[in-house]
Amino acid sequence: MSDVAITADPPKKKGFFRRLLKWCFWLFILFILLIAIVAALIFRVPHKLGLIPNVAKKHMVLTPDREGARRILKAAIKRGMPAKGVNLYVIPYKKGDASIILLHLDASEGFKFNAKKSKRGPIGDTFVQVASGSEVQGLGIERVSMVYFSKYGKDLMTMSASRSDILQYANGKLTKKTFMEKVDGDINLPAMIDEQIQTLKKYSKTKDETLNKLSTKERKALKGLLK
Amino acid sequence: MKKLRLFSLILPFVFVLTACDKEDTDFVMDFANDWMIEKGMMYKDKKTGEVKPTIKAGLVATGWATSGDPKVDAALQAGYVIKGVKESDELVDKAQEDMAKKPPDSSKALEKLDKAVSNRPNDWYYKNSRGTTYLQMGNVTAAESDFKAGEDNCQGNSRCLLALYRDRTSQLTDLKDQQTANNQNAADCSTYTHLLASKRKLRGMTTGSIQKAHTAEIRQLMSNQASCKKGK
Repeated sequence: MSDVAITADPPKKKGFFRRLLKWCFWLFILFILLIAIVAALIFRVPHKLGLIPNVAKKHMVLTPDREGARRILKAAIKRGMPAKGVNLYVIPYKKGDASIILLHLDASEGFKFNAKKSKRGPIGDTFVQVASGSEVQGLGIERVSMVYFSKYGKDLMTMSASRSDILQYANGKLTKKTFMEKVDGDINLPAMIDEQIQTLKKYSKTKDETLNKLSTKERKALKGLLK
Repeated sequence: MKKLRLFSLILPFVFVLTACDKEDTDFVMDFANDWMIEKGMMYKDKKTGEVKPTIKAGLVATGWATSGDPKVDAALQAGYVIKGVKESDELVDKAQEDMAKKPPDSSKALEKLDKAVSNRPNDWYYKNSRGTTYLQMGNVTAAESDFKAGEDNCQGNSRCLLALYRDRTSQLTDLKDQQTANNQNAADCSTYTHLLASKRKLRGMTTGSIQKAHTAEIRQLMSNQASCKKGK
């Protein structure tokens, strides 16, 4: 009887710590898993793996209207849109009843917004330059989508607006605020963060290069000034 | 003097800062910021004045947000479509380079064109290109099969067919000119035949002065085809 009592006590203590350790371990694993899931969602892994059906794959499969695209691009450039680093596609929707303009603005290929001051801002201006001309009529254009690629080759943002909204905005019937509310968009968060990091790195490099050009005396004087 | 010295020290930094001042990315970031506030994805904290994201921003950032309209959702995945079209167009350009080599590297060209067709199976443009390449290789049956498949992609849509015949006519005219230059005599009979057929279909769909111009061109093509057949 006494043998049983002696052997029963010590394992109780060991079991408690073991269980606590086990719980900590599983909590840690759960925490890592949660981080991994959030990261996978932000980096859009399910989309990349094809686990979530691509709507564009379903709706924009027909042949682009290359001739129409050439005409629209030419007219938009005449209206002030920069010509370098721009690709424009007119793609009919699957049923062929309407089309969409896909505007590809690529800073890595030399695209730069026209920074001329305007009420609409450079992005609003680009929407209007592309969709407001007579050359768009007869092509059944319903929407304009704009994809901006940064100078590091990442797609930062996609913005899309219906042609009727763009026309109303161009004619002053819609305010900037109302137009913004009507614009649909998608933002590539990881690419935006990466872009900021790259810009900071570049800035820090330029700063170091400028500092290196200064003499020791000048550097000391600058440090004192900054203090 | 001391002030001048300080000014000369600060000046390079001013240039560096103004160079980074308003870049294109800033326009995009500013627009994205304004847009997210208008759409309720971000809000301004009244106490601190800081801009903070909402759950809606998380949904957009992870690609789970939907507008409810499949056409709009498709429009937001435009990057995917652009990438596909660009890649396939580049494959066609490279295939044309392979075919322009002396002697033409037809197997490599076909490999690229097959990939372009499989990337965008409902796009007749790549079938026109592959069909023309088959014609250049002398494989008339495969060319006709591609031309027919391309027409099927249009599903009877007249605007689509008009663009298809225009493109095919242009591609076959280039081939005819290339063959004429290489042979210093005349193009292959099959090129004339298919170019003639394409021009006739195009003429059938157009009107006015274009029709007259095509008639003269078609007459010329018919005589070329007849002399080509006689020569055989």
